[in-house]
Amino acid sequence: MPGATVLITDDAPFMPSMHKGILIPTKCAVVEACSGLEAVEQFNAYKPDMDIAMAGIDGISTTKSIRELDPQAVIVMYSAMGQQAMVVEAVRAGARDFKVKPFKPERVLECVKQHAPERAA
Amino acid sequence: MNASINGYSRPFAKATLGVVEMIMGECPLLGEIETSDSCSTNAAVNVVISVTGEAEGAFILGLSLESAIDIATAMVGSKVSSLTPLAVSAIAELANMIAGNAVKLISDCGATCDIAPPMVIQGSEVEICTGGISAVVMPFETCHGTLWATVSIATSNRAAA
Repeated sequence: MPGATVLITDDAPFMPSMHKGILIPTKCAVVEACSGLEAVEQFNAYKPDMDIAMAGIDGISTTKSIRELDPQAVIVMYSAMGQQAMVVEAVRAGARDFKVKPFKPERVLECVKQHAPERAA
Repeated sequence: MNASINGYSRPFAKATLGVVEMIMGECPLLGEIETSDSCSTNAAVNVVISVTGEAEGAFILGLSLESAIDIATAMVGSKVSSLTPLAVSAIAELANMIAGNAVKLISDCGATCDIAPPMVIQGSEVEICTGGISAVVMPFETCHGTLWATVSIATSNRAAA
């Protein structure tokens, strides 16, 4: 996981800030996007090892767009709601995992270790 | 008027206890619950989240400016001295997580509903009209002051029809 580049997409500043506070001390690089459009641009620019993105309509369409660019792209979605239909829709769009907020910092680290293991120390 | 937790206030109480415990590391204490016909708030900072679908109305998380700053500091992980955009986003996220977790519980019980993005309103003596739906006000005592969780939600006419 150290050295992994993680793209965080959210339309509000708190969640990206929280992820940066957790991941940067572990030597991960964090790239931010505040919209689906910007997420696709950042994905093309930085080729991150993993994307963490807010759910919702924009999140689903962005997941599909990124997976079209790179079918191997690792995308984890998060939401404060975890209704089964939303989780199923996210996974169908290509999301690898779905996390329900709130979560503790160690869960974020576990998630990145699990899904971006190719650069594990 | 004194009241007890019932109906749609129950999942919001459960979600508030769970989310606040995870964020602040200690479970808040639920104080005396009240109901009112209108949905007014004296809190200096209010986060309003609309609920739509088979249950509809609003959830309002109210707190003092000091509590908002203290909670934002705890959530952000570094000292916040005023309600900066990042601090406002943290408080909005707290309410969003409570409402999202509550709506999941409501949906699990068969009333499919969704929430809108949070709106943060600063200023005391705010009155928010929720279309005649009565409100249940639940005060939660936390290590960072009182959180006023107001639930003004009813089964929608469309769902009942």
